[in-house]
Amino acid sequence: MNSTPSVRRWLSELLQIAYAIATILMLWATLRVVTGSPHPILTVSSESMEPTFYRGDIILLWNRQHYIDVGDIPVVWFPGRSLPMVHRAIKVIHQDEGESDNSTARQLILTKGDNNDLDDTSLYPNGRAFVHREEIVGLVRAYIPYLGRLSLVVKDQPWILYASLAGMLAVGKLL
Amino acid sequence: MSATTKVAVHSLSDLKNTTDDALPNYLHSLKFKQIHTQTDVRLVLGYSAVAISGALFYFDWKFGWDATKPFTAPAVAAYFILNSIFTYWIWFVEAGCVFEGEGKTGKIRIASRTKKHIPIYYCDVTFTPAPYASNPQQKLRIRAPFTRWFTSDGYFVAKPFQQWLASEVPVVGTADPKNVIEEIGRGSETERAVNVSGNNVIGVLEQLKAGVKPTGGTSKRRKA
Repeated sequence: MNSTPSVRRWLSELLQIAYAIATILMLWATLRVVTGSPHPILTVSSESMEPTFYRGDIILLWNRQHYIDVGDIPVVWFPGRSLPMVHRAIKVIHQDEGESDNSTARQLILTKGDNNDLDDTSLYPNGRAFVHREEIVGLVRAYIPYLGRLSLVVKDQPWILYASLAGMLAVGKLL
Repeated sequence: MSATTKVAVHSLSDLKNTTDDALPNYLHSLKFKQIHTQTDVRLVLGYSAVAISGALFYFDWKFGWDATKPFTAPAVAAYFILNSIFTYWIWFVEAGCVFEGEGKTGKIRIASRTKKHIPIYYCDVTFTPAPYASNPQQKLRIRAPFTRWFTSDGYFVAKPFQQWLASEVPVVGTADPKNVIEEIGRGSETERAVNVSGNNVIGVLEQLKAGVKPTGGTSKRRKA
């Protein structure tokens, strides 16, 4: 007595997979909402913040602190750049915007990597001298050493990801 | 009358899933019409939640974080509310239901479950024999080890499964009298969820015996 497949049955099985994926996505969305950052988890990919952070460390961001203090570590992502910068704020200026009705002071932030000799002005776009608060996607609140190492390897050699996925599918089929 | 696919005999979930699949098939063959309302509600709830999640991420992919930000918190809230209702529906409303339907001999709802690491198939049966006007709704809890209808190498054999269901559940037995047999010492037990006190035990036993043979005619005595 074989069970005849039905639309409902097929929909139920598809739902299990779709629901698992949806839950993971929504947990990620929750993290974004709670931290206020579009990228709450990142991997350090340069050595410019040694010995504070090393390549391969995972950093956890919090973006609900409006005022940046000197000593904070903002993650700066300029629009159009493919990668963000994780450096330390070494100078913060509050500039009154005289034109606007409510005198909200604008923050101008200067950053420098702990392992760099020079500040970051040469890395800012269009000859700018400061970073604006809107360009900061979060402040580093915690970090997990080493955990991101695999993601760096995959970033440099993307074929490893495809090969592992193919491998996992093959093993799944065999089992 | 065996299934062509083999199941892993030591996998409890495989045993349960195969049996859960066979149950509606058997009842369909007895012309029971299945009511899919609970399944449909579950699918609607589940796919709505998936749709919200998909829409949110599509929006984010297309328009970026700044445009999506004001919608993210409401979407997350809506998703988790739907998720709670969905979970509640599965755990407490559907509660393991594998078949709900109606046939000429009555209404029936069967929910199945297994206990971890124990290869016994438990069914909670709620049924109302026809005619509904003169019969109340009854509940039944039956169980049998999977060894009754699985061979030792993992093939499902339909006949003993049908016999078990037909013999234990009156509504099924009336619809399929050929499969109603008297069980002697085969290890299946029936507990009726009616009051059984010290006084009426004999009466209930007589009722159970009478219930197994509804037409009073076609019952084959099985040699143990």
